[in-house]
Amino acid sequence: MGKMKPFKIWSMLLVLLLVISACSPSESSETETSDGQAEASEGGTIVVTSVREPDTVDVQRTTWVDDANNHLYEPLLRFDFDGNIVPALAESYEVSTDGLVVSFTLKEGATFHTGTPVTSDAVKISFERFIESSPTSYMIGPLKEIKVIDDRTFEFHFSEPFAPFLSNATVSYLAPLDPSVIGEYSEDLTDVASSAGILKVSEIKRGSSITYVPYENFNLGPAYSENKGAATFDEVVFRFISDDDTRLLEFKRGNSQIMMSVPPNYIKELEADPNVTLERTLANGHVYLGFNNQKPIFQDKNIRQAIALAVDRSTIVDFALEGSAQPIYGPLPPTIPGYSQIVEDEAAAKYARDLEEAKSLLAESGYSETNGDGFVVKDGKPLSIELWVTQEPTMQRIAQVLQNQLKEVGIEIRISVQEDATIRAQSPEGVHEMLLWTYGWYDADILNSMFGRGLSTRVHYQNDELISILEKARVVVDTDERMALYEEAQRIIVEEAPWVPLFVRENVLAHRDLEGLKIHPITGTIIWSDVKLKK
Amino acid sequence: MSGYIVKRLFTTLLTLLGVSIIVFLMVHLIPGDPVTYILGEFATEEAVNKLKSELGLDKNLLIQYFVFLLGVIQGDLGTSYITGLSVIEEIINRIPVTFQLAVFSLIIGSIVGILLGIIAAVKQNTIFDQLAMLISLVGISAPGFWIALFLIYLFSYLIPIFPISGYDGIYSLILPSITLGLGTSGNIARMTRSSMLEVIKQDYMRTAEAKGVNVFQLIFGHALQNALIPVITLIGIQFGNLLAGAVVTETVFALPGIGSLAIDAIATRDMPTVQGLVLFMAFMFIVVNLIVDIFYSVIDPRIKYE
Amino acid sequence: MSGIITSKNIDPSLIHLQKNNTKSYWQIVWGRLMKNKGAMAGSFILIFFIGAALLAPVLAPFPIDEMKMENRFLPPSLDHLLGTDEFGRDILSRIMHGGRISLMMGLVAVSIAGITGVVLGVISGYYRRIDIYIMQMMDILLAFPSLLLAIAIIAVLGVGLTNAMIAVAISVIPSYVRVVRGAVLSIREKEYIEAVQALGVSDFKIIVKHIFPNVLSPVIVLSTLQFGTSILAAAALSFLGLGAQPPTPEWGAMAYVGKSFLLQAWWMSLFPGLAIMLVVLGFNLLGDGLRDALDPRLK
Repeated sequence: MGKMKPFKIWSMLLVLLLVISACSPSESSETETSDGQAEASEGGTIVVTSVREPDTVDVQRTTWVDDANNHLYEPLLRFDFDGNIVPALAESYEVSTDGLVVSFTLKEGATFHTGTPVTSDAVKISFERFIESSPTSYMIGPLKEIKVIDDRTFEFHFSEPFAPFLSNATVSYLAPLDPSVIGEYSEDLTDVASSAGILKVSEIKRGSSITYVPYENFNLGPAYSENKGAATFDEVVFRFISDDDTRLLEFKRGNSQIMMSVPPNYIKELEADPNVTLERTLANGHVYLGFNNQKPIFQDKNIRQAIALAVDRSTIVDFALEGSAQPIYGPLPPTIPGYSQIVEDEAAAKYARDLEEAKSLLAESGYSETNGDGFVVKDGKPLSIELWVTQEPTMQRIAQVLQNQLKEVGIEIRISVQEDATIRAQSPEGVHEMLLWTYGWYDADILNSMFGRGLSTRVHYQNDELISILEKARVVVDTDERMALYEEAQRIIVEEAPWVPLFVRENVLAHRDLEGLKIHPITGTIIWSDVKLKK
Repeated sequence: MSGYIVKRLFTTLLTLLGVSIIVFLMVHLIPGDPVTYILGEFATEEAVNKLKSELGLDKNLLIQYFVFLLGVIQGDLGTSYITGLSVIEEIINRIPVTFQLAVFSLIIGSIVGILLGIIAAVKQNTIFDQLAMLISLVGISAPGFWIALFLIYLFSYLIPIFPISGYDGIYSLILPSITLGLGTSGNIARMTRSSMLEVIKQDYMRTAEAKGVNVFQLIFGHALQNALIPVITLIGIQFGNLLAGAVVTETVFALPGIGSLAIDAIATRDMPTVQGLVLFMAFMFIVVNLIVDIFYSVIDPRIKYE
Repeated sequence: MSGIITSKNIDPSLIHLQKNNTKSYWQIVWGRLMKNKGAMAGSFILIFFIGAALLAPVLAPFPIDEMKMENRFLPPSLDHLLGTDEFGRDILSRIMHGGRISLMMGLVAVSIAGITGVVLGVISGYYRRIDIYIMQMMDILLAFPSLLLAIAIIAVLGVGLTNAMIAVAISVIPSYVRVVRGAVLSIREKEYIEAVQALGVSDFKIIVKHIFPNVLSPVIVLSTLQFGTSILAAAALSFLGLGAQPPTPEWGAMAYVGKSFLLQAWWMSLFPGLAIMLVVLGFNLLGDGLRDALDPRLK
């Protein structure tokens, strides 16, 4: 007993080793074939390294859409490069004068990935599933019914006008799904999702990658791409690597042609590489320092404005983001219709860094004395505020710069790192004091989500005058009138400073060995139609 | 002996029950409402309530626990809030990578560790002994994430011979396995050394030596096979540790194993996945330990259950 | 060391030594320890790091939180021996200050776990009826892989330094309970305990006067070793972003930040990681030496 021969042990280990190596997939043969087509500019595998794995490719089951699960869908409408809404899967659309009916006519000959034609009935079935079960069903607004007129024509009937609907209809969430798969797999289309977009799901490896192949019958290429038909490469593999550094190394080594979300600290290095092209697009939102306006300390406008005046945006942009952002002072970024240069200039003038004024505002509110640590005190208590930050390294750097800047006017910031999910779940309850957070959207209606009645889950700011303007802007059909309302709303927000807008991020994507890759300047997504691998 | 095994199985069952209670409570004590996270911030109250009742979150904790336990007994660890996939399926999808990583680390750790241990024991109190022990102690003392970082920097970037990250077959597991194997080798080396020393000092070894048996044969033939018994026990325990302890390594190397799944699940408040994973890892750990204990009691009958 | 020389401190296995020798038990241990090269090397490393941490406010060449953007990413040089970070802060100064946090994390975790573990272990070993319940609890705790347990605890308590220490402490408790219980069991069987019990001395007195001094040796060894393990675990948590928070110069957190700049400033993660390794090595060397000195049979 117990006298196992050493030889036996080693040979057992060896056998185990062989078994394991036999059961792991070997993909070397595939790699060789794609390398073999050296001269070809058609075909080939494009590898994209992306950060976050989408929870599912079924857009009606997720609240997360990005390049990795976006391109199998073709929405009814899309933005052109200037931010105008133009037809996509729909050939044309029309809004009734009272704003209650939006009618669409579908393009002729469009088909889903399974070959099923895109018809009015198909759209209706898909939207019914959307309304019934999608977590983003609020995006459709006060919809009463969908009327099918004929095979290619249908109407959305609303109970009251819903101005954001058209911009919402450009987003994949509202793209029609293939009814033939809905019928069979109504609960979860994770593996079988089919729509009418340029890419078709080929394989999903959970925790690792999603592979797409071009949809061979695609013929809905947008006006801004040369190729209106199917893409010419063989496949696109989205690999998910949440670690920034590993993602960068993979890209630098040429194992990947496209690197999504280049972290700011690597931009300079990639710029220096002649094989690499960087594509920058401004984000559809900004990063802000949000106050919890319910807290007594932030009900004092002086304190809010003092903090806004103590912030130096250019230092943050230059050193925490390595220059890959644009400072912003007003509530909306240039990428959202409703942005007003006038408001932005006014805000920039009002909140240009002014430490003296910040200090005098603090003194006005009773914080006129300073304690031994250099922090202002009132009734013996120093002005010390907790700031919630996510684990993202860039955000943590920003928080440290802010901490240093606010210290200069005597405000102590205590940085508290929270998980993304915690901030999402806890901030609506108003537990936090301040947070460093971001928003992104395609429509100025986002201001209603930020400050609307009962909707201000991040900054808890309620202002009746502001709310009434924002609510009016939702139902006004005339664009000019609507934009004027948003300008009015923005002026109030600038004056009241319920948050401190900091900067608009540049989304930086790096690519190499590719031709014809374009990024949509409004949505920031990849346009696949003309993409080819260089030899 | 069978009495021992029965008792051992019984306490294991108790432990598992306790583990399930702790895991369940822990996950339900996590602050924050999963429903808010799933539905996003703009969800209507109606939708929130609907989902709550769908997920059974509106029932009281005790009922929720028994529903959970009943599922577990039937091999159902629930459904992920985030992906909508069954948790056990996700684990099955991901376990091969973690399993391979653990086995490789163990192989590397055992080979290096046993060799170091033998050298140290045979050359006891010489510079070789001290050096071998220092190396193994450094292996135990170095933070895994740090080793991983510099292995990547050296062997994937400066001298690009290994893939940086991701899982693409056995080859991509070499650096992660070295990272994990290093700490393991330290523990194994120390155990091998002390166990070898004990055996070498025993009478029959002295007799063998006196009889003029060749030294090499003596070490590898007699000493090692006896000294390896406790080492194998340790290897077994280490295996349980490695299966679950690969969290950091999998995160740094972006390997799609259960460790990185756990980190993702915690970050997204995916309660069923966290619950299922922790339970699963604890289960693996307990089972491996049980096997090791029983194995040990079989080869060394002196061990009795107290 | 000589402050605690009483006859109660004698390890029962070493009683014969005491009888024939005028030197106290602890003096013998001290003598053995001084001869142990590893222990001395470990002590030297620890004295160096503890000294640097304690004297950081005086010795550190630069303030730790002052941002000097013109000094960003300077490689190691005579001005900045270990280079600077992404805000131009001196890494040497930050590591010196960070030592206070890393060592404190180890100290707090070991103290919490040690006190809880010793109490539970003594109860478990002395009162055999409760034993089975405590050990069952410990088996349950042991079933969780320690880092995963710590991560799960942090998921409940929230991210942060204090919570990381608590999480590490909880995951360390079972090892104390096991060791202490084992020691108590072996002492409990000794005749002189029975004799004292027969004299009608209260349990509390027996535990405090006779049992506790005898579990001290294994607890000291274990604590030294667990000190290193705890620092390592805490650093891993910080590296996963669950422990210390910026701008706290905790070593694991510094290595984590440095990871983002690995290619352009390798020194940002190399040196904090090296510091962790050396300190943990120091504790392990000292712990091994202490074990050999306290229990020469294992040598």
